[in-house]
Amino acid sequence: MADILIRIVGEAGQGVETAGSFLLGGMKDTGVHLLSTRSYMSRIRGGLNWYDLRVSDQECFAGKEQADLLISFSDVAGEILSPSIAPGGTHLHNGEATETTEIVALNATKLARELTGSTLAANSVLAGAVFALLGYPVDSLCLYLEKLFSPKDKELADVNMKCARAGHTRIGEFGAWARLQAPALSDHVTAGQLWSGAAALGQGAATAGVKFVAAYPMNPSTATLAWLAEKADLHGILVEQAEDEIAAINMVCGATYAGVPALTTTSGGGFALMAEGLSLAGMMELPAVVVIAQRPGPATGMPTRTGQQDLQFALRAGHGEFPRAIYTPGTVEQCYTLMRTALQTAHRYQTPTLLLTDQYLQDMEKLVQPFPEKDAPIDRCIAEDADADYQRYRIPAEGGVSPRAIPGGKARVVVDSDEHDAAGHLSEDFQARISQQDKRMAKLPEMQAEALPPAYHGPDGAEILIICWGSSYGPMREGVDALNNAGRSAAMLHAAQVWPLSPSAWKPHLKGRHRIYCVEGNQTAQFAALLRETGVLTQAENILRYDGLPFTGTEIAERIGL
Amino acid sequence: MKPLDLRKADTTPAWCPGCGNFPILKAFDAALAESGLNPDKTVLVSGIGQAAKLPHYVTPPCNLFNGLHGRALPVATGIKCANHELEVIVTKIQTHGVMSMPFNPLALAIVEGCSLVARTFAGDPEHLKATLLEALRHTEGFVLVDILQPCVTFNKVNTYKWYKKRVQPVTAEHDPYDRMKALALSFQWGDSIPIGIIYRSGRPGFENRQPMLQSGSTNAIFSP
Repeated sequence: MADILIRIVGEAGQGVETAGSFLLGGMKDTGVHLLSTRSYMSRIRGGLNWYDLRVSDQECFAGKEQADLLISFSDVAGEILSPSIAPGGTHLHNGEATETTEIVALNATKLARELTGSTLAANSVLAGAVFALLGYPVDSLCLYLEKLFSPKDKELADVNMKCARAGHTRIGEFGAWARLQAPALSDHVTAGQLWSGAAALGQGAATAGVKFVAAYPMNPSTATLAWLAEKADLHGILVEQAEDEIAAINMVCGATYAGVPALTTTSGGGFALMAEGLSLAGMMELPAVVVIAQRPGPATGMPTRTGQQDLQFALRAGHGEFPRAIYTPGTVEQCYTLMRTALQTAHRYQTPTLLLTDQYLQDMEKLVQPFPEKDAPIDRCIAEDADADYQRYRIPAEGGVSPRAIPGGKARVVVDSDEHDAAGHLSEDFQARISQQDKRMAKLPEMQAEALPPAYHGPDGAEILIICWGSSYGPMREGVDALNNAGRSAAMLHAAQVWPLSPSAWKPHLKGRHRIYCVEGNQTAQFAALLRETGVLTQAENILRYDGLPFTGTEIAERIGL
Repeated sequence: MKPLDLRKADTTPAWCPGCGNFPILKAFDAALAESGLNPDKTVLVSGIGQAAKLPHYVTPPCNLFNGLHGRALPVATGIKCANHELEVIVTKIQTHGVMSMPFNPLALAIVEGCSLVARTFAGDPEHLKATLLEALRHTEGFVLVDILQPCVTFNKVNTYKWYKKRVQPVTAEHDPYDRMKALALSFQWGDSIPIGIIYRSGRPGFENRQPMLQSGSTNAIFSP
């Protein structure tokens, strides 16, 4: 297996992202598997950011700790990250040669200035150099740069291609051609598409027929909001930046009441402000959908880092008792599919649904199979023929779901945050209270029966079972494969939906294991607690991480013991 | 034991006898009927409190969304964004007697350039109905009507009598398009309290500034 990790590191503003995107774009159609992750500090300029790109001949699911190729944009960047270079790895430094012979020094900034009179194309020099270090011809990179720049500026495209070729040639002159064991390029390329988790959520929402998005920006959810705003015209979505998260969730309640699929995006801190609005959607039986992109808390916490600390919060948020579903995608592909599922469930059961992602998955980009073109908008489950006798919360209601009409037709649609009667008018009558509360909660058993079962990966009857949820899928899968390759017997169970969950779908998987681990990006093993509460889990060991960085497969394998 | 049957006591409206909400409801019903607005296409949005229950009692009944305390406006925005062909009417309330400075809704609405800004008085049924009618007929942009309303149970100072002595309809000379004069009127309080149309702007409504809503409603079912 040829599998290398390229790590580009520098200050914010030095072009780390741009260089990374050139590599990703240049290799997209060459038959290799690609996956990138981002690690950055909360500042516009300075600090230390790195962009990891994994190039492999097999599908990859996560980042890695060690870099086979480190590209440093500054001395400090090189100094801090050089310990992460894998044995036998290469260090390409954007600067002058020093006495340290292991470092390949290429002053891309200077070369770009000499060639073009400007330093702007230095990233193309570096990208060209990386292609040479991997032993790849520079053509696909030049093709990408041409496509990127020439629609706007033909001259700029030429300048960048010239710089890419120069960087490529210079590596050859250094005698460093093909220094890395890179995956072979293929002539038989199947068309893939590059999607980030953040954008895949947006695409899922757009294809599901979302027509209104109200949100207040908060990293790491903002990337999805920005994607939706950028594609608003294309998909006919009205995107409103609300004055705060309280307004955002109330706007979503208003829009869903009026009939359009709608959602809001936020992170833990913003979701804290939405708790009352979520409860409103529960009471009014509105299909409101909230995307929560987690970052470490409490409070402002670590704005640009990752974590899985809001599961119990998402599960309990909102006063009173009402049904909800919580989806936790594990891959970029699942971001797309589960965004659609979350919207469909919300409409089918007329109750709020939540989708939990995090910085790691939001910023992860992966070359994936194109999403199905035929995916239709969700069924809004609207009673179009409701007439003047209509009652919004009619009882008896099958599975607790009364037909849902929307205002504008013949039916008057009356909804109230107070407890209400079947017609929706506020009522202080105890019998009305019991029957409406029972009706709302009657949805839960059906939602539970329909819940996504956990996904199993690994040999049948493996001795070790590792349980995880959400974005830990990738690291866990690579950890399990590493354990099995090392002669251990391990399997994993991943929850793409954490609530409701069906114990009968879980329990058989847990039987007869020697050891069970729960792996989570938090300090209190929140999902393990939920599994105990639901009677799924009795004995398990926890593997936890809460420093703000994601798990890696190597880490999992090492912590369990190879 | 069976749950107690509270229905006989759960009477409507849920207001104190003599409450200013009664004349407002009566005037609103009349203004709504005269405005020609279609109740099917009208949504009343309110928050929490006794005044916020008003939409439940309107005849003929309209669509209504009685949401959370103080959160009616974002809900109304969401409804307008989803289906801007719906007429959306919001009721909100502010009580006197809190420790901080009372909010000046008129001044804020004028500063923000709202489309129509008016004030009326619950103790003057004719003025009340005429002002509400003017507001309901004005379908472009954000309309604010500030209704002065005594609280017969808790407020022994700002009574019907107190207000009646002080309210003064704005004179014909007042040009509502003069923003600075309108602003000056909005700060006039005490012996003489202006009521009537305080301010008008030619500003287009939110939905007319949204390119997404230009080619019809975003709502597929009831759009033309």
